[in-house]
Amino acid sequence: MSSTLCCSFAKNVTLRSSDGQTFEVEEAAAQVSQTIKRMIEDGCTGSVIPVPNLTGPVLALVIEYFKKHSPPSDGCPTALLEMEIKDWDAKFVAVDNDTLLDLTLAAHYLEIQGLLDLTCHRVADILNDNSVEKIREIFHIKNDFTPEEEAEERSKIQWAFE
Amino acid sequence: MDHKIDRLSVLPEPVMEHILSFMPLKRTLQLSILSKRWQKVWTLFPIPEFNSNFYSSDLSDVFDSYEISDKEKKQKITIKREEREKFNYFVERTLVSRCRQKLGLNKFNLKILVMHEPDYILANRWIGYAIECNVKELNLCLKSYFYDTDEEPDDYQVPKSVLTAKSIVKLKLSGGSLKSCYSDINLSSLRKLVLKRVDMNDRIFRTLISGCPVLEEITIRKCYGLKNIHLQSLPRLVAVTLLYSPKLRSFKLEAPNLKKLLVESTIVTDKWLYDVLSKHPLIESLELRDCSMLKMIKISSDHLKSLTICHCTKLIEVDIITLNLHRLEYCGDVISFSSNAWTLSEVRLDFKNYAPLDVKKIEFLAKLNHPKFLAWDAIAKSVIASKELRETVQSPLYNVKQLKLKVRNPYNIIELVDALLWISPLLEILWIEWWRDVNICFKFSYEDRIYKLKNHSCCKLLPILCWRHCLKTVQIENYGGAIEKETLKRYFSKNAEILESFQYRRLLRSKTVDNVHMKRF
Repeated sequence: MSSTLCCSFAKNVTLRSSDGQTFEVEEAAAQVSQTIKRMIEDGCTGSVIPVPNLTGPVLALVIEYFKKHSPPSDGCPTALLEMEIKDWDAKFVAVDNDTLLDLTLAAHYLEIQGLLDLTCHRVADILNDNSVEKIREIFHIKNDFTPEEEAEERSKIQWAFE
Repeated sequence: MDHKIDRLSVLPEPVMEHILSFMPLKRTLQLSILSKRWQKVWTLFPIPEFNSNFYSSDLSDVFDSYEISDKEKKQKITIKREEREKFNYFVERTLVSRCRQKLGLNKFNLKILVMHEPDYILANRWIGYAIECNVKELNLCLKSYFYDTDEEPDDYQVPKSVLTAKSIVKLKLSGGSLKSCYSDINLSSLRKLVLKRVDMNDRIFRTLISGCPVLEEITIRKCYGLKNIHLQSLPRLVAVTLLYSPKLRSFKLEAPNLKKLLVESTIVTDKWLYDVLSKHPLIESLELRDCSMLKMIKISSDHLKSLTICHCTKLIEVDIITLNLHRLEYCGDVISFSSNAWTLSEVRLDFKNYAPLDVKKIEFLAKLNHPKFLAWDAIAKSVIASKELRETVQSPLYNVKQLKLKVRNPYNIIELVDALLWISPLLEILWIEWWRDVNICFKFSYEDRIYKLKNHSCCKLLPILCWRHCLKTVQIENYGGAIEKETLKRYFSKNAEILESFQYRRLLRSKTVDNVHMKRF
């Protein structure tokens, strides 16, 4: 015999990426993004929410992040869950630099503070751990100083290298 | 063809600023030679955290070192001084340029050793620039001595301009003296004030407070000159923190909207607490630390969400009627505890008691009414119940799903797991923080709908079946040093009747999680 299910089902919203891919995600999870939260509050739920700054693959990743970071049903994440999430986060940003920058920008556009902290910290780690030459190589930064100019710049901040 | 584009250099400014905020100042400076675009990376961004602690930490390292001769010490100090000169020059230049361009300043952190006249002049000048730039958050750590000499008041007088700066929203003063600032205090935007080891007296404090009409948060710590604190006429005050203030004689609070209170003081007696709580019914978070005069805590509140009681050594009884309490932290002896809180989602426990688990402790645990998550700091032995006890007493936390144990000493892992699974026989996550950074996370899943048809001897006192009869899968994640996987596997295979799978994974902790404290210069 079937019993009546009276509990409310989680509401979903649909997000559409710049290249037209659509994703369905729980409303509560999508509200991890302040931008999307505002759109939902403004009554965008009925239709598809466009996310024009993100391509499908990036949006898919961001949705993974949403799911992991959506508040638990009773609103009280426990410390243990938080620890697990931290580990998950670390793995989540252990990606190639292009994807990392995609995620950083996505976090910025969608106002996801947690993801922004996470990605920026990761970028800072990379900038911290590598030599100036290596950083140029990793991020394809073109050294537009002439050798003389670079030497002069270097001498100005020589003390910072000691 | 080189199609790789430089995406890092063209990140939006706020993002770049955020990235730089995770890096030490020196390192950011070094990046200015990456390319022309990066050349000005520093002056562009409004977050210079000038943390000039060359005198304090770096030089004291030199003084402390016994291995080097006096001559070498002198040389090293000269090098440090030169380095400092260059640093000073850099700070000065940047500040002046910001002032001229009217760029504004969100935050200015200055940690400086003010021992001699030139230091005073320098500190005053830099603080002056920051105020001229309409700094919003000012964080001054002004030390007059190499080492923390708590009792000795500082000579350095905080410039008066600090206490009339209308732009300041957050002000943190560590050290320094306010004795020359007895009038004309006007901090009309100040919302958050932290005073640590600041030399002042009751009268100056009163004047200061009356000059902060929109104050929301205040923290007072080690201000030995204060004898009587009276916080009143602060309608927006929501958070008060009073830490280590042994010379305090009285502490009066009249803040009708107070939500958060942390006190660490012998001022707190049973009566004091009772009065404060009845006058401030909106308190959501209460922390009582080292309140060695407290004997009995009785709280009845619908607003209280978080309660912390730590090291209140004379405490014998806690009785709380709190419908909405979510978080409880208790650190101290095993005491008489009663609570009606059924909504606890997080409990942190540390019994300062090394004896094995006994009836009294089990009673305490049972009174917690099965929180969702329990974090427990303990000596291994003190969580293990004897065989006799297990047969006569019910598992105290049989509904707890998540447990984290921090063990202070090495111990047999099997015995530990066995003991914890007696305390909470249907755990979903068990996290053991073992000694020497070994972390083990157990994830358990169970067969649903197993009815208790038979009374097994192991769980005869429970309304439910214990893990031995319904545990289906075990997943172990082992961080740091390895544990004995085979022994664990044998243990679960032997004890769990319907075990289907046992998985073990060794994981190395990632760097991003661990190296988060890099921010200092």
